[in-house]
Amino acid sequence: MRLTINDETHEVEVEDNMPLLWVLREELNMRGTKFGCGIAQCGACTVHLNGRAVRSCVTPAAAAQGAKVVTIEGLGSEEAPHPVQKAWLDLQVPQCGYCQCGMQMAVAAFIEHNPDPTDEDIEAGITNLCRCGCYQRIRDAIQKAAADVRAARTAGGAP
Amino acid sequence: MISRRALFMTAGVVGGGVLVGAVSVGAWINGYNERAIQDAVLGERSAKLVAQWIQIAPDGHVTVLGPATEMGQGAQTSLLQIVLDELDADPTRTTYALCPADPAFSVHDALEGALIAEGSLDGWAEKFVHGMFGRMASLAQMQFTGGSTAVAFTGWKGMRRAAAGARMLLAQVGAERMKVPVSEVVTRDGAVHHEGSGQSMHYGELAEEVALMPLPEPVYKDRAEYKYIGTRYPRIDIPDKVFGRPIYGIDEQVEGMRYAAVAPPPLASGTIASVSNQAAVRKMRGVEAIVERETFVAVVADNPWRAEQAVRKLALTGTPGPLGQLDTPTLRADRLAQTKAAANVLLGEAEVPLEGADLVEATYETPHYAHVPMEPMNCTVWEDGGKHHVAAGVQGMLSARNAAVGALGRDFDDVVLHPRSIGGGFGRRNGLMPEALTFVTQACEVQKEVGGAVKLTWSREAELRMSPFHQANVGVMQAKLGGDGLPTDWTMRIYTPLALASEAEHPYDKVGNYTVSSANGEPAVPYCVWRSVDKFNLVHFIEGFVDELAEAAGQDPVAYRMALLEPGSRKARVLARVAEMSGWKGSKVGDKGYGVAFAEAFGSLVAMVAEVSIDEKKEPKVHQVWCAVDTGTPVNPGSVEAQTQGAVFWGLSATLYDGLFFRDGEIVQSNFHSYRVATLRDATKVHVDVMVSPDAPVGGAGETATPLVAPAVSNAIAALADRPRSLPIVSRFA
Repeated sequence: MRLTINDETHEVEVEDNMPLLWVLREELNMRGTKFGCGIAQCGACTVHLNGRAVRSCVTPAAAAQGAKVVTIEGLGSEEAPHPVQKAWLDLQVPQCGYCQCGMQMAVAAFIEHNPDPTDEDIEAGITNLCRCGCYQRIRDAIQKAAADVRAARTAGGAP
Repeated sequence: MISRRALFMTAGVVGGGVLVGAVSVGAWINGYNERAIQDAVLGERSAKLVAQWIQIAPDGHVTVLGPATEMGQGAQTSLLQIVLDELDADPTRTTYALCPADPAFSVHDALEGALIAEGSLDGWAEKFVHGMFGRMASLAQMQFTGGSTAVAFTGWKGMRRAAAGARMLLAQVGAERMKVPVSEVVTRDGAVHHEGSGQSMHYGELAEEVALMPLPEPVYKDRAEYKYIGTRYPRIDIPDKVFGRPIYGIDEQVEGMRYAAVAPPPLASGTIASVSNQAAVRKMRGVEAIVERETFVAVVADNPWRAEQAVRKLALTGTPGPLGQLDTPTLRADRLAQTKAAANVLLGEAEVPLEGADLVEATYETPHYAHVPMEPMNCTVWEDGGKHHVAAGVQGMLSARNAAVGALGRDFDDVVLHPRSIGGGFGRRNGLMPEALTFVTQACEVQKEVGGAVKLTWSREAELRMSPFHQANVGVMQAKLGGDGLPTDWTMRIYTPLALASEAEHPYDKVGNYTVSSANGEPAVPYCVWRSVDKFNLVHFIEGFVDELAEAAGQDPVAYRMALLEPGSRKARVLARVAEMSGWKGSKVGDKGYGVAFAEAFGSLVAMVAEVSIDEKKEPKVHQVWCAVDTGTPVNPGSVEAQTQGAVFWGLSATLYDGLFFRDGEIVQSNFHSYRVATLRDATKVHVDVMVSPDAPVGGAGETATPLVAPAVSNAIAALADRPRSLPIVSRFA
């Protein structure tokens, strides 16, 4: 099947029901997306499918055909970090870091749709798990990244 | 065991007289020279070890070869900060690297720190004790990351001593080469400078000579001179984590690698009796082999998902283990009965139980807990150059290497361990308990049977069935109060024996007779320490009970604790700080309950206040937690703050939700849908104040705050509803 990941097209030969997570990690060698639970509970595997945050451990590869998939490898780079990554660096959010790729992907999609969230919005909208308990800095960094996105929109630029 | 090569090389180096003056002949203990032994292990290279842990290349690049693996605690950054300051190194040309998993790099400062606490021994005694611990740590294969020891002991004692001593030698040799008095040179940014003549030499030019000299008694810098220690230096591991680089064990890629998935025995603590459908499973796409053992069955396939699909199709029958087919209520009743009869006295000498009419009495309980770090257990094994290679995220590098040596049946020197970043440790990946490393030994056994390169990964379901767990405990408490309301007699009976009886100490100055005894409390399921170890249980018992004493004395919980402390002491200062931060006005204000807790843990002082309400479902909601933490000198206050915030959420999760439940010998929970943990939805705000006590010993930060959450939250709930004494408070499966 043909998949478009981070604006590049890839041909893979896998079962239709192989989860997108394993296609990314094993067939395409993009290992920033993580396996955590396999049942869409923890969010370590979060990627964007047509701009929406989805849990790739339960998303069949076939469902990603024809869609635009973005992974952590396509979110931003050290030279041009996404506002979420910038806030994550500035506030020194990650501890062990294992959940943080999925966490950042979830947050990037979240503030794209709600760039002025209340703490209550964040608490309801970000359900990813972090066992290190980085939640206080995650909450602070979401607000910082959202402020950056709002500022960019006000300035007329793309966030 | 010390590797034969290291021993041989040590003898060679020492015998050859290269280490001039470093070794007093014939003194087995004083002659223990870490640098020589480490040099031997590192082998031929141009960079020189100028002191234990510190290597300088000819171009002046400094490498801190530390034993602390990175699991999010930021210890590597803090160790780097210590060396930058005491060595006067150039931050742009100084990096941290993990030392080899070898006895030569044992963390004897951690062993020394754990056993003699903060001692100041001078002269020969210091040298003797240090050398003795070096020997002991090496023999005991001490090389671990845990117990909040990395910064407090390995860093503040070991690396600071090495860096300060090395800087003095670099200055001395630099001055000699420049032909100026050593009193006229300064060290700065990785070089020795002589302002008068304008000469300077970088450390790389001096390292070869310095590497042959014995370290002098170090003279440390004044705190005012520190540029890195005490600052929020950016963590060196964070960029990789933000940009998703493949740094974890689970990201390992080896040419031709295959993948193993694992089926656990059907019953917790049991074994596998039979597998009946191997032929059908072998026909599934990608499946290459099935490896059968008494304690696990692995399917090897060309893809991890295919391996997992196949392993779930196996038809297994099981044999019960020591746990049998018991359930949680039966186990609880048994623990309570044994605890009431506890006879091993750990502390004090009072008659237990206390007798009398005016006793305050209460019984506290904690359950078994699973660690469930975000990165599932995994290990990759392959062969190359005649050796076996093992890659995994482990807290005990040397223990993991030894576990692999045993499972592969190879010589120590023929197994290379490649430690990777750890996606969550919390004790689960410790090396001191063999049960914690079965993911390593299983990977080795599978590779040994099928050959090639194999990555073995446990599903979350396998982890919740095959892991060792944090041990359940019981605290049966009694006290008698004096006329001033303070305890004249206090006893605590617990279920599980403690590695260190001193862990059961309460933190107060004005308590009468205090006696602690334990039952034999053999774990029904394999045991594994977790974040804050025994303190987790004991502080819950002690600090919940102190609130009950305050209540019996008719006093405010903060004022009562203050009365138990020496006025004006460091402890009183920490407690006063958290009262101030939280604006303490008493246990109940409006519809909110406030609970306090105080402890001395991992060499640090910590006080906490929790703000709680009860929602319409009668469940507690923890709105805010204030925490004052005093680690003496916070090497990186940003990391101490982050660790404290994280420790609070760990404790919150364990207080409200985590906890394993057993039914008919099976563990009820199997994954995060049933094993509930704290999330952002708990909407708890955590406020941390990192305090400084310059003259106090440096304490740990990673686990310090965890054990206070359960009592602080329980004490707050007690202001609004019945006092919870049994954890977890919300989840109930029994």
